[in-house]
Amino acid sequence: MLAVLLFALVSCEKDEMQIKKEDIFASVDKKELDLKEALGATPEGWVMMVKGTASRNAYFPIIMKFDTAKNLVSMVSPFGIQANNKSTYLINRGASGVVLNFSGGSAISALMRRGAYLSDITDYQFNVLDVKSDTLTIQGIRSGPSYAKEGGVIYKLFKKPVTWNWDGPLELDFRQTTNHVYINKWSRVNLKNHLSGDSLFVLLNINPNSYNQASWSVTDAFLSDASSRVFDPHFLMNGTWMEAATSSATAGLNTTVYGFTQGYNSLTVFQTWGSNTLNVNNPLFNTKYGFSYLVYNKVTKSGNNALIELEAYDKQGKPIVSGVYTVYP
Amino acid sequence: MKMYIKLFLSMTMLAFLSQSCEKSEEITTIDESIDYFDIVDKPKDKWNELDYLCDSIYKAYGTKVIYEFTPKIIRNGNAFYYPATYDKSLAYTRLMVDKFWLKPLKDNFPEYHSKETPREYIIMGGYYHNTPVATNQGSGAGFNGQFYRLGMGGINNFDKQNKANLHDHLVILWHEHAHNQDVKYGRGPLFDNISVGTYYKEQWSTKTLAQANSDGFFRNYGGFAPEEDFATTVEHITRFPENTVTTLINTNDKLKTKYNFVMKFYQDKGLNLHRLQVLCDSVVYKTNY
Repeated sequence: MLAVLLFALVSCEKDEMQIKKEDIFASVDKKELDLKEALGATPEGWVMMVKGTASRNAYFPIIMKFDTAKNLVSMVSPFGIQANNKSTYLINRGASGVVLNFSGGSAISALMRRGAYLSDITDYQFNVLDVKSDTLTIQGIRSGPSYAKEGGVIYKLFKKPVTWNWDGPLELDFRQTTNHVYINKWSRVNLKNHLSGDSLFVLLNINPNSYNQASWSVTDAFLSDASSRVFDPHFLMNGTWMEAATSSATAGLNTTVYGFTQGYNSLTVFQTWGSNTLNVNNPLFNTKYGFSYLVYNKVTKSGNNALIELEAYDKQGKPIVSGVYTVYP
Repeated sequence: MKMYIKLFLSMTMLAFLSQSCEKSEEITTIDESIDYFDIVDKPKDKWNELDYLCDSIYKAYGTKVIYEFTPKIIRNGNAFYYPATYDKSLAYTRLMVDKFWLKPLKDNFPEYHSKETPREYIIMGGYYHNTPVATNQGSGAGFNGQFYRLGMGGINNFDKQNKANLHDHLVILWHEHAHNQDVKYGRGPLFDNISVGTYYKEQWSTKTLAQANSDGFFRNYGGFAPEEDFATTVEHITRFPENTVTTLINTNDKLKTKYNFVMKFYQDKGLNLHRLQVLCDSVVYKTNY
């Protein structure tokens, strides 16, 4: 009897704590409104740090700029370049609340299609968990395969840091042969690793290689099928990379050839497709140096020389390495 | 007696408690008046160029072109499909949906158009996938399970310079639509009996075209199963000129029977497939775009 009473009381106690549906709907309405406001109030853009998986254990930034008047979003990232990077988005109501839905083909749907081979993105529709004026917390609805649990990786989007400039106009597009004056010869890359405090001095010679073509190349990580063909066909370059003892050394200590693809104002040592030497070397780059891309935060051209300020970021968007590229005198 | 009092007390208690619990059960978090998975039409002030185009197509032909994916479109837990890029969607809708498919259909077969055209047309960047990651196993060119909805894939590959691909896509669109018609009316046992027991099933891709033709299929994929047999028959008549079709069906009785069945199936509903073939050929190869 006592047990029955206790049980009944406990079960009723729960009911007293139940939230009224009006409160739930009001909170969903508020979240939707807050999301719209946050997207609209951030012309500089939101940053989503996407973790590369498999051999790309690094965080790649995707800068998203939302046009809330027309529900369009443009994205730039080191994953690739898009001639027309405009896509649509919607704010939907899902069963569990507000959904930020990248409803048109974009970098997000392309990465989702390629799965864990390229990144940790498992959906292009995200439950909106939390909205603050400086952070958006979203979670992919699907977590991967059919019948896998609901809920993928949780991303904390932040406003684009004021020190980031690489989302400006496209600089040094090496598909344009006029820009080849800055490559095809020895250059210096002097980097500082902010985690270890170490300096990295590199002699680098970048050459557009035989894989380059306007159509889809067999080495392109997004080649696999039409669902992921959102970026322009990739532009692959062989980068002969020699570590050096000092910032002014003229001889390298070792030589490795990595495959560099073009991201938006960035060079990416990325996964290539199929079996080739680059696909053996490229995965080792990240293991060795701790980053997989370098964005051009500032480009200064003078004659046939270019000074490029480079950066790569951690999960919070803080530089993990920074430095400069200069053509070797 | 003591026991009765105890029982009475517990009953009263229970009744009281369950009543008080019942009250809270009225509170539910599901609001029946909201369809969470509905397609919410965008307010007009948010329309982009493609939204305006889709609206004019809807007004002219009654078909809603859907290029943005919402939870309602992605309904199936084990299906993965991906939206096309905006610029490809726009170019595709303008040319393939409007000029190549709907306009010739409505102009030439107005009655068939008004009765048999899907109300929703979904465009996908890639194909219909049954796998979440980059393998193309179990992919489909389109989807057609409901007669009110048709979907076509591969729009991220759209290239208006490639006329052969455009023609192939248009013919496959009619192949997918044939599945719609099959779902709506049923091809029936007469058709299924023509090749009963001789379907290749998963072995279809190992067969050559010549082998498939001599086995009574218009192409090897038609030998997969009766529904594909039906759709590939429609596809063949839509793809090739009448005299090419006639030459082929005269080599095989099964092909001839299927041809007669399918021609009548469509003719009864107001569509002459040979005329459709001429239209598909001329819009792709004989017009400027």
